[in-house]
Amino acid sequence: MPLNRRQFLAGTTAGLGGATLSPLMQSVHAAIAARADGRDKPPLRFVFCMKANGLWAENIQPKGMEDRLPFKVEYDGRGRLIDSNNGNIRKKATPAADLALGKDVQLSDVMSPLEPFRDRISILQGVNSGFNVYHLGQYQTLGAFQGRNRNSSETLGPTVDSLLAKAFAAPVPHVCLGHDPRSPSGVAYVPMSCEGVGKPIPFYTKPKRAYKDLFGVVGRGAAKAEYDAQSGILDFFAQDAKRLQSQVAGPERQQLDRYLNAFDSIRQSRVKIEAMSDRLRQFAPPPPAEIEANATMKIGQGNAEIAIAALLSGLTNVVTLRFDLLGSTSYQGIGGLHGGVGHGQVKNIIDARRKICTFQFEQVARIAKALHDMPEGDGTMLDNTVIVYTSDNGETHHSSGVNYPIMLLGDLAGRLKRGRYFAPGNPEKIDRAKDKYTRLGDVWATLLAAAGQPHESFGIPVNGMAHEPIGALLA
Amino acid sequence: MGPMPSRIPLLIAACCALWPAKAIDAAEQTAFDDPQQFVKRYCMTCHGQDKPKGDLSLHDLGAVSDKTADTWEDVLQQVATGEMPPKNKKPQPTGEDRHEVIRVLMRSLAAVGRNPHMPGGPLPGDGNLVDHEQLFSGRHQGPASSPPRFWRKSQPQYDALMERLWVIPKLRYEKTHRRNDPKWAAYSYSQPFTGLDPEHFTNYSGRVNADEATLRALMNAGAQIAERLTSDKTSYAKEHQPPHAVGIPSIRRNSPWEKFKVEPPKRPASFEPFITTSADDKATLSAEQRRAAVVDVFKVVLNRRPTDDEAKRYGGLLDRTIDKSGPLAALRGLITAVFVSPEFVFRMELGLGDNDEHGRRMLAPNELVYAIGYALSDNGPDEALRQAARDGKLKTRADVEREVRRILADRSIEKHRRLRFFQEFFGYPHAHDVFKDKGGWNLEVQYLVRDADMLVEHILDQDKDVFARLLTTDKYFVAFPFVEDPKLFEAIKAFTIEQTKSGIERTKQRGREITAPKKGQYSRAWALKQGYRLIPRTVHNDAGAKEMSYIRVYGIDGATFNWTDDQPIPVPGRRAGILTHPAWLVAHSTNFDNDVVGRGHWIRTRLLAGNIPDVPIDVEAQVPEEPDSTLRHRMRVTRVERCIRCHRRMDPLGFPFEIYDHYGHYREKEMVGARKNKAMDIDPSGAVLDSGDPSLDGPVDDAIDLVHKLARSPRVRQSIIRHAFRYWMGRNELLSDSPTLIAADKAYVNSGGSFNEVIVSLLTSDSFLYRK
Repeated sequence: MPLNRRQFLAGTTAGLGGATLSPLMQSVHAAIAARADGRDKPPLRFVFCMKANGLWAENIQPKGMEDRLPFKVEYDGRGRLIDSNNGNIRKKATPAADLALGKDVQLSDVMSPLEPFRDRISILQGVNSGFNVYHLGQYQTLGAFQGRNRNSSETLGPTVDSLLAKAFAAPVPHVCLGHDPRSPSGVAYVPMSCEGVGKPIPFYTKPKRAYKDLFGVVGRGAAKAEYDAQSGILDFFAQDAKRLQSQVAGPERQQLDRYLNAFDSIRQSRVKIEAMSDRLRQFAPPPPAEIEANATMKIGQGNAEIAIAALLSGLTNVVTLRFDLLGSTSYQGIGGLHGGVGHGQVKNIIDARRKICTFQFEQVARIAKALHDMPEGDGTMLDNTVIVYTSDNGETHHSSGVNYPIMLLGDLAGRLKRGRYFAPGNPEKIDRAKDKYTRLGDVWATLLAAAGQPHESFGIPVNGMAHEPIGALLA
Repeated sequence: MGPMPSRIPLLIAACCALWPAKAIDAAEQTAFDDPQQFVKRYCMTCHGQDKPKGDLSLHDLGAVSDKTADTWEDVLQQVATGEMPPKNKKPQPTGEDRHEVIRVLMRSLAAVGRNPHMPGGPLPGDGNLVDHEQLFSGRHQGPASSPPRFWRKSQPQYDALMERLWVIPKLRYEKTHRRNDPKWAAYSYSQPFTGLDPEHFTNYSGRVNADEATLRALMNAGAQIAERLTSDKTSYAKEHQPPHAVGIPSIRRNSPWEKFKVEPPKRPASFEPFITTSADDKATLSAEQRRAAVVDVFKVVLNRRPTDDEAKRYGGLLDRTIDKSGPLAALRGLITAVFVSPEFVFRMELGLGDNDEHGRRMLAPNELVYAIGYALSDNGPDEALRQAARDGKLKTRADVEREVRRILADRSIEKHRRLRFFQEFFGYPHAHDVFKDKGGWNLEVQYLVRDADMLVEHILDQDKDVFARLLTTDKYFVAFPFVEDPKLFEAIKAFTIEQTKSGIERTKQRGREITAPKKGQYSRAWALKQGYRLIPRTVHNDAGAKEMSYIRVYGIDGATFNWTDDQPIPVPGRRAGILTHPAWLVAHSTNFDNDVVGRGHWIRTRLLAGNIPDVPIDVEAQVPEEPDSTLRHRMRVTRVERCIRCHRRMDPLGFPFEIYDHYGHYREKEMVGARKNKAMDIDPSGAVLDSGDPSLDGPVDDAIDLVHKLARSPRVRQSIIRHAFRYWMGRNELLSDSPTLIAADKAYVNSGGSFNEVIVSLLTSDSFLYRK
């Protein structure tokens, strides 16, 4: 029987009442206390789970609804759809639908880990990207803008997850966890989320690294000494900043400021984290072991642990979890994503895709279960949460982005409809720059609207028509 | 990755004050302070009310306002890139007209909140916006100078430090461009710095940032290195340092390899007391011991001594941490602190010399040390250069010239910066990044890139007629590993034979025969049996012989290949220089096809100093998938009216390369069909249009014809020199840099095509030496 979350909060703040605190600390404690007293509603939470390499529509299509896909789910010996026409069959328009899935919905086999939550799940099919895509959607995916070319890695505006992180700020507003075999240090710009033009968000690409930053304060011994020494360094340079700034002027000053301000910014984020160290201790996972940078699955599992702890402790309300990268990821025992799964160099491409999806749904299920097990208000933390699962690349390995299969889990405190099957029924031929059609940006606008956030100016719609919430999904 | 500012503001910043005054037609010299008048005069013939071209009517555009700003930005881009009005239409605006309308438009757009001003200047891709004829006309006398420079540590400079600290293996050619081998994960190596768009020059002064992510990454890296420098793990990465790096698996005592062994650097003695003293005895650490540690940390990380002020401040940090966390944690903290310090991340060149009559200030000796050092080497200044500054012998232009020549002549000084100019200019290392649907290709492609590196270095070594030879040589390096020490290279060659012999023995013992390898493949055993010389085997050459089969891309039959160390060698098929080298062809290809447009774009912008506007945002550029058609036929989509205006400037420069497939094989037929089994005739004809060099314009037969023509053109030579200017100055050229460019061009021509002379000329120019 898990403890009530309010009990945790009350327990944490109780011992701090008489301490002498800095103004900043006081405000942090006030916020915690306010929440504990129930003066504030529980925050909404958002978890974006993203995969590379495209998501086959059939892999998330509920059983018995296969005929609603624009193709027959039958494969030839090489794992291609019958009559696939070089994969183009996946680029056919999905017929319109707006149906209740019902409590007895039969999830697809790969989604079986989510069986306990089947009544909370909605499936979206046939949503158009709204931008050019081929291999990689990158920042365009959550940002709903179009870069200069296909596979663009431009950051042209804030992505939806970063907007929500700002709106539902917590001590660490946005926890971004990813995988990048090329970044063994554990921090990398995984091309997924950005705060705005030219501001990509770094991802933790190793659980151990994320742990150090997010939960390092609860460490002991050498880990604690390292954490303290780093805090000393941050103080040293934050204080030193003024001296340096006075020596430089002009555009160079902006450059220097950007770096020098980082010392203070990390320091402040540490102060906020330290203020809740008791709760972090409660929820912190065991310190993760060193995982090799290319151990995709172990990193995915470790990242899910970090995500769970960060959400349960209240460290954050928004998590972006990126499982893999097209160019560099290889799944142990399955194969590389690009040549192997994408181009069919693995023995059984259907099996490979199913295994990868199942693994990812297992992680989604772990997060959902942890949130479900934690009471909050009259229900559980999961009640105030939505988990999004999709690929950054639409329907398959070489996509046109005409069909982004998306799964939503959770109704965000009753603000989203539960258990829908929705396909907008976009026309077969679309001129993205001129026509009216339902875009990925509209799905993100739906989340923004459900969260009570402005959505009117979100993204850069190629056809000039503002992104709009999808009525069929809003409760 | 990294900042990607939107295009328009950059473009405008590029035009701001730089647009040349071009007097084409003196009769039409009217300055326009009203863009609407400009549009009325030069655009209405085509973009009027009736049947406007490109569906764009400008007749009722109105003044610059919120509502019209989008269209005006388009107009600005078209006018600024010289795209509009089309060259064959009359009337043509004069240079002054263009200059003026750009200036006014920029101001008006700023007035409606379009913020068209980017501090710090434009990016490398915008450099050609300055008119080429004007730059080399000799009419502009300067005086040249650069604004104060603000350099963030570059990725290669960081790599060089990691090599010096033995964090990562020292490899000269393998993956010099980017280190992306998962094997490197073992070294916990991760590049904390971002670069500019890797498709172009990656380091521009003031254009690359360091932010919170950089700081977090540096803290992490600093902590790891601190741990290594203060623990017994100092021999990390040993097995990948020379000679291991080039293929010697293990060195046993008394083995013949032992003489090649290089020991890792010892950690400074001043660190020892911090490692051995316990927290309880911290008071026993004397002030001298503490000061010595600060000095050594600076030496290790920054390669210099701390100033008195730095010694005091960092000493204070050390003292505080000793009290709080003990000596060892304190020393590690100090190392980390220097690692994240602004001094580690940034370098400034403000010009600390005296003002001259133009208000310019020359770089002071202590600035010149680093400016010169980092211009040529990622390791920064060498000791002799520092000594020259200390001795007061680094004050004048002649001093700078003497030092630059000394470093260029000294073969013992690493000068990757010189090779990297050509890597970033030609872009061939990007071949690594182009996925091909073929098993093993990712391994094979790295040898193609290395071969190209070897070729460039070879031509730079000879330093004669460098550009023309780079563009036209028909001899390549093939399967030639770089091993710096000639004796080690000899030993490796002998070892390869030995290993192959014992391999043959084992095969025979198993009762098998050495047979000819399958079609085109390479086998050392077979080669030895035939009496051929063997491709030397190094760790980073190949695990077995299979990877060496990549030589088929050159048209070489693996079964009859007789390796030689007298390279470069002629290869079968028709080749001419880097642009027909498989590495370049692959780098400028897509997953399944040649990249005709990309190649044309490259030649137009890099070799002809031309401009191509960005693809309009509403264009979904895709070549249709028609398995039975040649690529040239499928590319007909670019010939529609809307597209052809730009594509005629690119596609005819890209089609000549159709004599190669997208792996870089020379071919006489193009294989089409779903199974690629139908041979179709190739049409490799192309043309150079509106190049700006009338002797160059005209049809070309194929790639060989094209590159030979290009290699003879002064415009191509000058375009490469313009790029060299950008690379070494870290900014785009202005008209005031005209004397610098002309001098560099002359130095090249007068020296019979020496690239070193170009470097000497650039680094002794006012543009390099003065700040204003």
